[in-house]
Amino acid sequence: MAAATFKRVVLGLHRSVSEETAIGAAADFAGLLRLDLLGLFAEDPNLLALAGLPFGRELRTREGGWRPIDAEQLARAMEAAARRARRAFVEKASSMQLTADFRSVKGSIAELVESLLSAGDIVAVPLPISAAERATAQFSRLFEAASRSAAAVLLLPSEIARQTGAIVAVAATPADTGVQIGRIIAAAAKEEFVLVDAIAGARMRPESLSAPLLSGMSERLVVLTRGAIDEARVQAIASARRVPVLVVEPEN
Amino acid sequence: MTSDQSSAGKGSLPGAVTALPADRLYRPSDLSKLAFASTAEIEPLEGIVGQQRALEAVQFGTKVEKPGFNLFVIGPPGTGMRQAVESLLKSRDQRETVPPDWVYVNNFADPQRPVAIDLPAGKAPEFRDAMRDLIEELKTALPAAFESEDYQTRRGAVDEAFQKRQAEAFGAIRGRASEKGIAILRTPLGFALAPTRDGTVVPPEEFNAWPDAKRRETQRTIEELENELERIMRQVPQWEKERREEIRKLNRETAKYAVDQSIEESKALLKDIPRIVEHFETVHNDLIENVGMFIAKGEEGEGMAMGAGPGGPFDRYEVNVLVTQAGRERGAPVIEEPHPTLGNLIGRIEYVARMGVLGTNFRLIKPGALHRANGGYLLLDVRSLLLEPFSWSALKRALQQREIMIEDPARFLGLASTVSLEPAPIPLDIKVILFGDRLLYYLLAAFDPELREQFKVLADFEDDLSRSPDSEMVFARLVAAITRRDGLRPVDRSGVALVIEHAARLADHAGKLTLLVDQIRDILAESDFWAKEGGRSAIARVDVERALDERTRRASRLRDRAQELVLQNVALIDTTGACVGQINGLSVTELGGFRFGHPNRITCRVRPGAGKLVDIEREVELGGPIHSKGVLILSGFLAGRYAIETPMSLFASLVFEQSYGGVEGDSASAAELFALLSALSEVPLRQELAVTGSVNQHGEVQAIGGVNEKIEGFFDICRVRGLTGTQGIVIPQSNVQHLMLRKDVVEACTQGKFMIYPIQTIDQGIALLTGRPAGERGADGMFPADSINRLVEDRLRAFARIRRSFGEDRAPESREGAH
Repeated sequence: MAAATFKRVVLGLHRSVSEETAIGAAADFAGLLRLDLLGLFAEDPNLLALAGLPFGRELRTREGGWRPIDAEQLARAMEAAARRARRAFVEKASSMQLTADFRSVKGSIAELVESLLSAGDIVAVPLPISAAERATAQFSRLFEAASRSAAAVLLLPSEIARQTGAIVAVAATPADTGVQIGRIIAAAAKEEFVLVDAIAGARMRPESLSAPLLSGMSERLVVLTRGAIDEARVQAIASARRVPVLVVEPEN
Repeated sequence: MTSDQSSAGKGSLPGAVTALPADRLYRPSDLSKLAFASTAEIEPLEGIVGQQRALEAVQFGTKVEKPGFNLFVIGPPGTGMRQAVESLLKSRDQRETVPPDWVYVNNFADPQRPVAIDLPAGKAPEFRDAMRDLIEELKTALPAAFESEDYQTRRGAVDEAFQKRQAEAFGAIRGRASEKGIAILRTPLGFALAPTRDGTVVPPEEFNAWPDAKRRETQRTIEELENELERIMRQVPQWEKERREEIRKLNRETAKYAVDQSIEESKALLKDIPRIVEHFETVHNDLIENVGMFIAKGEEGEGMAMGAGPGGPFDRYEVNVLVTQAGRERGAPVIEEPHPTLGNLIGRIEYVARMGVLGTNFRLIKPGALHRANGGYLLLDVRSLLLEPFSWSALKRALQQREIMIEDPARFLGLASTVSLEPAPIPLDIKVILFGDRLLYYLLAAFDPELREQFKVLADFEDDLSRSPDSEMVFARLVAAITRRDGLRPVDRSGVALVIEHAARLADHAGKLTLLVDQIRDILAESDFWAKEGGRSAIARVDVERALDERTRRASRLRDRAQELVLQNVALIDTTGACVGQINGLSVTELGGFRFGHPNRITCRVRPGAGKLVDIEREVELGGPIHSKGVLILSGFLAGRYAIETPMSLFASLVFEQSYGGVEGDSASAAELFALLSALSEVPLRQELAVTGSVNQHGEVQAIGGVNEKIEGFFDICRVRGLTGTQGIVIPQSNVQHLMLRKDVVEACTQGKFMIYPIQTIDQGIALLTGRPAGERGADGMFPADSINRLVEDRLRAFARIRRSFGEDRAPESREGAH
């Protein structure tokens, strides 16, 4: 898919990420390519179902220990989270003068994303900071849904290492779609474009998932074509390098 | 007719007083030692004249390098003492060492107590700039270091190891849960486990419809997974702590590398100053601990520095240059503080309001005059100093402790409760020079024992200078200097002569010249104006005369009104004829710097009594203590001269007629005695004469002040009424040296139309005023018949007899007042 055909960035917000960081990173990316921005917040019915189960309880991360889940309190908390996310989203989009929309919908975030995505979309998936969060059903289903879709996927780390730096494309061949898109983004961002040989890089330090590919670089975005490296390493690159990673579909 | 002829004509009594010749009434200047047409030809005077004693004191005081040898310079305003001292200091300060610079820097261990550091002269700005450059450089270098690939790679490795450990643990539980149809869910407040079907949580109604065994099995599985999840979650904080420690260590290493390089470069510039090197070390450690403030978004695990104060986090590394000698190559500073408030004197701590709270830090410490003058000289006006609350005490304390401690008055007055600073005191090495008038010095010396401890050197500036051809020549050069310095026209020879003569008049002494240079400067400025008005290129005598006349005219409204009252017979003053118990006294009024004399009628009434002389002014509390003293001296005179063998049986009352204000001074005591003697002898006194002078118990007439103005005041009345040729003034002989009379008075005296009679004794005066001899006791112990003294004594004896005849000689004295 050519970069010119991207129309919008769809940001799927879930409860396990820092909303401000995810919204900021998604908006910056949309602004860079002058794309529309759609924010999605799911008020997950699974949680309400959980509250109805007789043994339904939660392990509180702050105070510790298991507590029963109060359905009403849960509903209020989700509404408040939705309002908070909307406010942050609108503020950021306004400040950047983006064409933006925000929807708060009852349903699973994965299903929502799946139902809305089209080929011209980039789905932005915020990566939780902790492994516990990544182990949750909400994140894994969102990630799987995004990966299954025809849209490109933008993985957003919970912290962004730098705002400026090279645009790096990791590709098996120079003809990869990621190379083409990386060049376009680099031109838009007025940054250096660097092409990394995925196959050669993978041989350098096999004990690490992320480092060898990008050793010696100060990048701000990594672009790669789906299939150029395995899925597990994609998340690892985003987390370890703390830069957004854009995964695009191959041309064919 | 000359005055000598005149007095000879009037004074027919043996030993009679003669009127003064005209040359004793006014001493013209003698510029014979200096040939010049105008001051343009004279070398202007450099420095100051006639103040050798004071200048030597200043020289001494400024050279003594011991504590407490500060100077107190006193003298009348306008003597130019401040300029003289400044000029002297500036001439010597080039030989003195330049004092160090002082800065305040942050105390990283205790920010409320900023640290003071001294640096070699002129180095403080360098230090400040070096520190500023360092921080600016680090603002770029540190973020760059933390964004570097090397750091990010190492950081990524730390995070990755942590993530890997967590991912393995959570991945395992997730896998086990997934196998059994259980999902881990994120709730708003934590994590939960729930049975799922097709990726969604089994609804409660469906779950409840499950067979019991299946429900129990699911619940048991969930409980097991919950225990495992809890166990892993409990480990997460420890893993997180380990990760943070790793990152902190990495951050320190990264920061240290960047900071070391930059700080070594900055330190190298000032490496010879141990305290600066020490401060750089402290900054170095603080930078590494607080590197987070340099990284745009704040690195995880790096807290922002707190307590940095109002100016932002980087303020803590700034340098507050309190005082610098940059640009001064030689010499000590000479600082003058015209408004010595406490803050202006010892420095102050300023505050800025932020979010409704007053805050401060070491950068808001402002220097005072003591800081700026430290190592040099501080010049202060003592009156201004005393008028400012706390300043005098603070100055003494600083001198006593030999250090400058900035104090906030709002704190010790309880007006502010905000957190403030306690800056480290700065050692004080200063010479303070106070300027003031003599009264203030003597009052302070009397009431403040610390004055002598801290101001051991007194420099007392003279009011005047002995007059001689030499000093007049110097004065002419002074006039030249003033005209050149102030851009005035030169003064011609006759003009200079009049200025000098006026200087003698200002000194109240024909044999002295005033040193109130400011007054001379004012006269010259006004004369210059009149010269300009007259189209003259040089100031002539006529211009100086015009300036003096106009000055007098502008200020003389009150004098003219007083004279008008006399001329209209509202204020009763006789200038002809004779009268018993009545005399013209003279007084001087000074208002707004203008003095004028005017006559006052003094009367006396006598009768038998218990020897009391009543001063009516004193009885009604209009007489001051010196006036009362003068009147009481009269009693002593009477008792000592008359009625030696009989008790004093007199009741006399003396009063300044038509006087409605206070009367002070003893210059009318001679006149009062003449009135008393006239009343006792019943011999009339000449009203064409006015009298001034004080008297002692032996009947000697003593000098008084304002003699010129007094003479002129009576002369003006006589002149308007018409000079008779018999009018004049009786003055103490000792006042003759002070005479510098107005031109018209001198002319009248020269023409014999007015007389100035100098007397030394009461006897001389009474003879002059009555036309009868005073009389001296003969061998028989009696005064000659018909002499004034005889008449007085006879009258007193008669009073004694009367009292005896009435048996009142033992009457209590207090009864006198009831009559």
